[in-house]
Amino acid sequence: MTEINLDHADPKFKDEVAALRGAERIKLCYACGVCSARCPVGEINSGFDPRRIIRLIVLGLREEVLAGPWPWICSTCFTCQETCPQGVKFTEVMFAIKNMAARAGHFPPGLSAQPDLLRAKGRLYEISDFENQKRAELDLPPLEEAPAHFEIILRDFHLKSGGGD
Amino acid sequence: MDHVLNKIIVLPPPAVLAGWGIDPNRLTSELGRAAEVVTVSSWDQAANLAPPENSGVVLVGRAEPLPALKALQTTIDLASWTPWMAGPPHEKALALITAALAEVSLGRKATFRRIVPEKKVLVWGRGPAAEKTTAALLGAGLEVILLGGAPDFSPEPAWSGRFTSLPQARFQGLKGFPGRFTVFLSSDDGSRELSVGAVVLCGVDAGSTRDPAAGPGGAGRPGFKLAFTAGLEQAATSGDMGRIMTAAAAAARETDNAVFILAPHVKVAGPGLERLYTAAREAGVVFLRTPDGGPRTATTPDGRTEFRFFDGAARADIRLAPDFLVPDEPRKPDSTLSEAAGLMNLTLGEDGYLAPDNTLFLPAATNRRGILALGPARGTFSADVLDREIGSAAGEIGRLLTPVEIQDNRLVNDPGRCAICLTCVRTCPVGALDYVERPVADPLACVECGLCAAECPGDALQLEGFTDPQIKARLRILLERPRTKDDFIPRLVLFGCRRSAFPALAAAPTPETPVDLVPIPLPCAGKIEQDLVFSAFLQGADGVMVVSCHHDNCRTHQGSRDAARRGRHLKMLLEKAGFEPARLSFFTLAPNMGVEFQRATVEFKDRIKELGPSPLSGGGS
Repeated sequence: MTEINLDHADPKFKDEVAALRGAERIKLCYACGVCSARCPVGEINSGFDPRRIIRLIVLGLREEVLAGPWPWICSTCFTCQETCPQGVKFTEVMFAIKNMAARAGHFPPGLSAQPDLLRAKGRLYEISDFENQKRAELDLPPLEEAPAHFEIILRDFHLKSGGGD
Repeated sequence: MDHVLNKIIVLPPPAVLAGWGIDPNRLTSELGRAAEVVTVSSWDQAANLAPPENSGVVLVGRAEPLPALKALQTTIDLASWTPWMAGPPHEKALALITAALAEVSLGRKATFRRIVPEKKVLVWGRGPAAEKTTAALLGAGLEVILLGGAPDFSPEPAWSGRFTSLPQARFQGLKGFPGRFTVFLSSDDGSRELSVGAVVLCGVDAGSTRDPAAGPGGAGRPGFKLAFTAGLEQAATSGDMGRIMTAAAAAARETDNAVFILAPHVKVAGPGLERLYTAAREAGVVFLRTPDGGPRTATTPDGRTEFRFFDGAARADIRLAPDFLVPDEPRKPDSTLSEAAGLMNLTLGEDGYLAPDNTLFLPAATNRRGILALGPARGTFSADVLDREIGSAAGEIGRLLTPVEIQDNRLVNDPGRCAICLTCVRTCPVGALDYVERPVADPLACVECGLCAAECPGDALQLEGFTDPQIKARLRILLERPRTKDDFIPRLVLFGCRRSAFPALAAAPTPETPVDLVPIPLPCAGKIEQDLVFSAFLQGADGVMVVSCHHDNCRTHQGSRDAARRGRHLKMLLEKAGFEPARLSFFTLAPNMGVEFQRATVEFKDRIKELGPSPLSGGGS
């Protein structure tokens, strides 16, 4: 994307992001670039540019930001957040964007597998006879699947995936 | 000749001398033949010495003279200089002191004059700046003449006796010196001369810009774009930026508009502006930086102006076609400024205002003492900055217009050599020289830079402490010092500005490889002349360094550039004479750049080492 025509941008987008918890100060960014300079992901993948992501939010490029891959490769190391002179809290902004993106139906394919597994099995790791056999050898009690615990936690969690809600 | 007759050398305590590798008793007996030697336990004690009239004092171990000591002085910063010289400590110290003694012997007894300045000020300008300045000066008890002011302006009745208004008169010229200028004016009923102590240029304020319109609400139309420009080629002043941000923030809060501010820079130097900037951003105003030379423009099919420019943060070209555009008014210097600059030899800044781009020119100062510029004449259009400039100007004028007893023979003209060409009058960067039977430097205006003495074709002008005989005596004594026989250590003459080179040398880390400098302070690098450089080479210097302030840090705004220009010319002459131009080095630095001084000097020394001893040095022995 080498050109941005502001006729097609959504000026309300930055206000929506700023309304989300943690992202309140996004409009204060003055593009000093310290976040991008220190970002460890940016060092190996120059396409991941925190300053640019903030700029696109402020300019109102909703689709570009929510449908793109960038929010999902943030390593959440918080280095940007620690260094920002304007207190923008970029890692929190990334969390907010991830939530907005997921609600709008944009998220990496592997992501929905995790809540599906929690709902079905009550664990992120499937327990089989092999594990319980090993535990018995060490005199440890067997583990069971306990999806009931997670039904309550996941009740309000919606992630539209191919496998249904 | 009224040269100095009585010479005194002031030494620090023996323990300090011993710490520098010097034998105090041996030094005292060696020097005692040439001068009276006094040992002091502190510099306060030295300041209280009351030497007889016509004395010259050498202060060993100080960088600066003692203001309280009423005598001709020269200083030797022994501790800073000797690490940069080769040879045994005692011999180095003796050589430096002998050179300083020779300089002081050629010094001239001081003569003093009492100056009683006129407590009258000419204020030239129209608008709030001129009116506030007039009121401030009248309030300080001075008489004020307001030239070109609004005909209906009158100050408080209590001050009206000291106020004269000449709204229709025109400025024709100025002569004289700070505290006693003569101003020439003309009007329809003839011309007149005024005697004033100081002049303040306030410019013409055409009135503040109307507050920018916030534009139509754009209600019901999502995405309506409202844009303000805050200078497209030249950034708006901070005062104007404040007004623009206030309007933009109000529009962003009160309407559904998408609000933008386009600016090359956002100037927030002023009370409350940083907070206003944050508030505008929080309200949703988007700031976009336009490139040098302004954005590209085009017209959309529906007739809107479209701006196009690259945005570094977005890493893409932006296309912004506002639905409503509020352009700002560029501010330009008014015509009285270039007229004033021409008539009074004032330096204009790059943008045409009377504020040269020089860090040493404090608010309201111009290159000429006693002539000040503030408000629109300086490019200031915000009220709070104006108030501070007026305060600064009033303080400076108060100090200037006080009777004073001052030495008046620091710069002397030899009528036997003077051709009355007036080159010096034209050269002086601060307007301190004028022609009264022969060129005379005014003690209130002169900054003792020596540029006039350097330019004088007849060497008729000499500046005390830096006369040709004085500098050459130092050079001769220090270049006559014995050289190390075994190893070639390049002997480099350092002609250094006393405001930058020598403080940098004092701050520099000791060189790790041996260097043999001949330290020759200059009042300004602009004092360097071909004569001095040739003299250094002819007496065996392997290399010559001329070190000055950065061009925009130079106290005279001109000397550093003059030095660089002479350097280029000298290199050309040396090359034509078959002498390696690389043996001459010119560079600039700031007084706190000790590390850079060390690096540049050692690099130069290494280059000279490769070139070998100078062909004029007799092979290095």
